[in-house]
Amino acid sequence: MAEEVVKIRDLVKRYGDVLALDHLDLSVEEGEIFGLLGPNGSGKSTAIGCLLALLKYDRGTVEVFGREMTPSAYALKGRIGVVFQDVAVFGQMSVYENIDYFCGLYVKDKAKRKQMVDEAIVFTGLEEQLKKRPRQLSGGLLRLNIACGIAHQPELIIMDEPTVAVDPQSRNHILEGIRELNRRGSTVIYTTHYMEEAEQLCTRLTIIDRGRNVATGTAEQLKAMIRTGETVTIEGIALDEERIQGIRSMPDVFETSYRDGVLKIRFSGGRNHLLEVLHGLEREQITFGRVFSEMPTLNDVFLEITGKELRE
Amino acid sequence: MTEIRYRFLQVLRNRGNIFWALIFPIALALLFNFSFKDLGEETWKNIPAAVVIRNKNETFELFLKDIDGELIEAETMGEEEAAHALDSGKVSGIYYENETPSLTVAASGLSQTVLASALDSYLGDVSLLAEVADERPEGFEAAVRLLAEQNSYLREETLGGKTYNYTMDYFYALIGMACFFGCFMGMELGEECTANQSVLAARRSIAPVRKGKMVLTDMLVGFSVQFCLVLALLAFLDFVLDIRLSGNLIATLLVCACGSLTGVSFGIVLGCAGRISKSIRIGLSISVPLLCSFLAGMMIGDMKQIVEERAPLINRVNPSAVISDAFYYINIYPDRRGLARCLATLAGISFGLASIAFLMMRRTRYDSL
Repeated sequence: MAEEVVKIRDLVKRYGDVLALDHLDLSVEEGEIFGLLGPNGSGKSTAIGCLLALLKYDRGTVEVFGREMTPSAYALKGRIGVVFQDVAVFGQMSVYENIDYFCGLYVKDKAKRKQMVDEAIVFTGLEEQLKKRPRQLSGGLLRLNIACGIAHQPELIIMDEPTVAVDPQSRNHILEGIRELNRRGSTVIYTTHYMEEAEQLCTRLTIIDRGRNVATGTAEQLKAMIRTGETVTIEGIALDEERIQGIRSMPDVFETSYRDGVLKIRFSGGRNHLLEVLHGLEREQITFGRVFSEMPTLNDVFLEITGKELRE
Repeated sequence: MTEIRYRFLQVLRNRGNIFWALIFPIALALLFNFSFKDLGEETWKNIPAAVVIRNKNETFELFLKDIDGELIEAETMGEEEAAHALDSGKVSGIYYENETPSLTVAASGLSQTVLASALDSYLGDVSLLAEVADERPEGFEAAVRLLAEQNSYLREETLGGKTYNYTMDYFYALIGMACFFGCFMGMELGEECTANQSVLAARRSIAPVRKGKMVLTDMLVGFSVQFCLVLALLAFLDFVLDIRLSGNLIATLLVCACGSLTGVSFGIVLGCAGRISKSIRIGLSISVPLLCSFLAGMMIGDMKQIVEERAPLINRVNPSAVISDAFYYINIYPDRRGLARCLATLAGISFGLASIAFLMMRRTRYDSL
């Protein structure tokens, strides 16, 4: 069994009267890309703040690499790297100086540090911009932010929404970089509210809402937890109530909605209901426009568990 | 060492730090120098006064002779001529020589006040000498000599025998302000150590570096840079503006060092005070040094004296006033004990502030980020 890199138990954190973390439990195993998925304000960043011993909490325990995480747990801190959502670099220092400075907080050996810094520069593609100040970087600022967080080659990398407000090309570059870091042996905790990103990247996920862990598992496991299987959408269709009732009575249909000429049929369990629907429409000689089928997303999981959209 | 080197680079490249600690004080010094130069070049003009002899008074005549040409320009006239001269403004007042001399003026102003003060001084001395002659005739000669020495209106010298120039008050307070402006640099350094102030500080706080070591490093860097900037200001005052401050070089360096440490320490405390908003912190880091310098007499020369009379404790703990006092003790009134007291006060304030900063930041988790 893989080592438990992070173990959070019964974590409670209040901001005044607001309950930010509500008896949160989390386990992250070695070698994972662990996703912490939840809408804005769900408690993801607060959980990370508690994990890093930056935030006080009211109750619970936080262990990293099997030991309690405290502000003075320097040995543990040395094994962790963090990439914050907001860029955290010195504006008065060049790209190279920033990476070298932050790496120097972790690695004292000069030769070793130089090698690590050079590797981080190559990894983030900043070779051509080493002498530039952060304000002179156009697309490279986020890469510099990442380089400063990972240059010391930590065993555990925490990335707090690193792709917010990032263009799709840079986002793909960042995601591929995270996979590469994971391949090199780092365990990654990745917080995001982008479900597609989490689904693409993470080997295991926890969905968090109002500070509670509402579901944990692989993306497939999470989708299997809910009733929704396949959703078939038919556009440009005219139906009367009798025909809608006929559709509702089809096998495995548990919900239909019809609005503005768009019919949505949600089936429970399995896939391949599309052909069945098309045959039915043909039999009834109903004309229609575009038809497509979708399998459940993590948003459906979130919707079914919490009753609200993940994007809200 | 790497951390110290990069912190130096970061602090030195911050233009705000250089502006408040060096450029702004230099600009003020230039302004002061420009203003005081005009003051210095203005020459004293003796006050024209008429003397009307009603009854011969030799003592008074000797007194007038003593100040004639130095303080007043006396001219003996008849009653009518003197009255006419006073009306036409040719003279500022008329001394009537009598057993008890008197003065008539037609307006109120500086010249009239000087004439009145001279007469009051004479009358006071005469009264005192009469008293001595009556009660202790053997001491009369000594009293005359003493009064003659006291009544030297022409030159003011200090106990240390150095010429005292009132405009130096402004420059001492200015140096105090420059030292205290280290708080601007200290504030930024404090913020960069406090995780709930900036993401940058959060990134530094999660590194495996002891908080005490981090704060100490920043304080050392801030102090060194600030001290060098204050020395640059002193060099500018000395070599460019020709304002001599180096009565005792080691003592001067000590005062600047203690003052710089006080400024940086105050700033670090401001920087790690999480409950104060950034804009208020910036406001305080600018206004507190300015206020302290104002109270130390940077804008109004007599202010420190006014504070001394009404709330002397403020002068004892106001770093700008203490720095200003220390410069007095170095350059004007050599007083080792006074200087030592100033240095101890500055060191004590610095130590207290630094302790507060350490306690605020040490092994801290925050309520919110």
